[in-house]
Amino acid sequence: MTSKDALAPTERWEQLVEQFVSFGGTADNVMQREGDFGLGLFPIDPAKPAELHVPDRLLVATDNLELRDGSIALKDASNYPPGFEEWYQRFQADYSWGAEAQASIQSFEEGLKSLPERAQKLLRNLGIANIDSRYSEANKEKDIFDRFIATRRINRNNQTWLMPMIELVNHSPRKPSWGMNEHGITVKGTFDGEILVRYSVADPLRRLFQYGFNCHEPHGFSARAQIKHRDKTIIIKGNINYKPLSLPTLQINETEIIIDAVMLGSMDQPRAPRSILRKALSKTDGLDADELFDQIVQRNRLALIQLLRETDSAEGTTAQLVRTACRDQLIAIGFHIGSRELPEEWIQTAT
Amino acid sequence: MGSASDWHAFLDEFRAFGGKAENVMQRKGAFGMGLFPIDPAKPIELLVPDELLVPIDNIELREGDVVIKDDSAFPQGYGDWFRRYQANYSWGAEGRDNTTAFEEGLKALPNNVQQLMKRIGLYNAEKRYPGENTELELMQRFIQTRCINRQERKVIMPMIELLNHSPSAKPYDMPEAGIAVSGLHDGEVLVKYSVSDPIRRLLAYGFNAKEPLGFSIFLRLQHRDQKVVVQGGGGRQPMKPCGIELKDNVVVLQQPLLASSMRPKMPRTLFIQACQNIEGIDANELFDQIHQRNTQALVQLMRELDGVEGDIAQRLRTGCLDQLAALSEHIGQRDDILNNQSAQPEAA
Repeated sequence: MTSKDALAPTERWEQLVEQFVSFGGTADNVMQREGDFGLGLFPIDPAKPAELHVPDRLLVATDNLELRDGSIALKDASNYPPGFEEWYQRFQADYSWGAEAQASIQSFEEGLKSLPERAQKLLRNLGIANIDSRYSEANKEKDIFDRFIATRRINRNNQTWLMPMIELVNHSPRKPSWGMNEHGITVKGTFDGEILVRYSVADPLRRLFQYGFNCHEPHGFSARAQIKHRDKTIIIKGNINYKPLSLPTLQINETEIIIDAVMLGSMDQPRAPRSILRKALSKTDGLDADELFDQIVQRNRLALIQLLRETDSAEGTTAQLVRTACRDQLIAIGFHIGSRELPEEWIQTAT
Repeated sequence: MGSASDWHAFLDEFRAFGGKAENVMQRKGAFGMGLFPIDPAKPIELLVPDELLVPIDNIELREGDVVIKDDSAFPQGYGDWFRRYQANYSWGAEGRDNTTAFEEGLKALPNNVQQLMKRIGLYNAEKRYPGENTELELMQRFIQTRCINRQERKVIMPMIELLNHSPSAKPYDMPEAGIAVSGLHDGEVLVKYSVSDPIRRLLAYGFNAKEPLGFSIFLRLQHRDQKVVVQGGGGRQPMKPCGIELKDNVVVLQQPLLASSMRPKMPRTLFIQACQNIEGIDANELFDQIHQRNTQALVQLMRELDGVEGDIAQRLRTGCLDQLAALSEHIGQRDDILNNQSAQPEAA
């Protein structure tokens, strides 16, 4: 293992890439440097395509990772090529966990913990974040490690994985997601500036609490809520619908309707949110779907406004991130205008 | 402000002119100086007869005092009483200082904040407080916060203008004889000044209030093939459809009501009613568009206010949050009203 100090940064990066390629990965025309979103990957020559590819055999199962003396290490490297274990440990120490991830997660979580108690309670009630349980006093390092994994993992073949090299790519809601095929995971294309991918479907508030950064996401979903609508109790579980244009799942009994996820705003399809709820509830008696939609929007807006009031005088970067996310979320859930007929292909139940 | 005996002597003079001011005293409360019952177990009574109302165009500043220009139409001695009243209990008590602090604070807001407020029709420093004749402009601002429309004139109501505002209080009584406020009051005697929303209440009067209504800002938007201009503001009879007209191929909407916490189904209902005779409009969609633009503008205003220090910036941030909350109060629509109306013959 080469000492971090023995080589210049460019040479260290080139060596990292060279070894990654020798294991079967691809990292063409890419370099790591500081950008608008912190450390990220950029094309060395923007005129040429950049490509990253992690074959399945180099993906790292999240349950095969552990913290060893403060460093991220593989528990069992027997299924990987020789040298990969050392390479991966160095990759994490120099470019990922050790580069800035650990410090920025810790700073974010400490900041959340110092939010006013009423703001923390509100976040808990809304199902957005349980700050006590995600970052406990008892085991901070382990909790930060778990948060780190949660910000980097992907689901593939019923297992969660980290993607060496590709995990260094930052997020943009307007970019395509990772390419996934039977061989592995790929990011490829010509990039003017930073190489960015869309991590997942989320909204501004959830993006912040999952990843620790603000982003103008094009969707807005309802927080957890219980609403009295006419003679029924409506429970919104407050999840994200990862197929936002599909119908949410419903559980209906005599007096209670439980809706898994309610999309309230869509920048690209602003006529869809109201129409989707309308369609989802079209066979349920005793409801006025339009009225319920307005009630859910109202409840979400008032909760976000309350959160802004509770954090108004809170100081520090994290409090500012939370305020920004609340404002972005108000915008995101506002992307609903009128209604439309839903195309048949949208009318499918979310899985 | 004088002693209690000064106050009572002052009220005696007011009564001698024909006014009523029973069981009230002025003191500092939660909203600054205000009027309180002396004995909360007994009703208060305030009445300013029409002949003691002072038209605002008959008011001027004379050596720093707010006075009646021409007092020949008032009872003898009233002009002098009004001057002392203004100096001791109104303009001179805290009216001038509060108005100055608010206007100077607004003017000191960063340029980007002022530009945005101007664009959405909330505040224009050049018109409202240009600074060419500071004292006069401040007095005019002060008068605007204290006057009321009465028989097509704007007038000042001595004594009653000392009352503070609560959105949940009753408005002034306007019997034939004049303007009155009466009844039992546990604490401060409060009235509802007018119909407004939180952001306009703040900018008109300088204080934050959780008003139960929300009106639109000024905005232009494209609705399908149609250009639309929304004239913002409130102050009108809110539970009637807003005005709408087609002017040079542009649909112009006058002060649409966007939200009402007491009657949350009415804003959309009234909007649909207003739009029904204009072709090419999907009223539901346009209502949502106007809402969306209002939210975006208010959020943008809060973003621009980030990091701006001072009491006025804080009031403005609170005003934006209160306005966003007020605008959230719209739920569904009144099908009974809309169906009933569509069933009626067009001529009706």
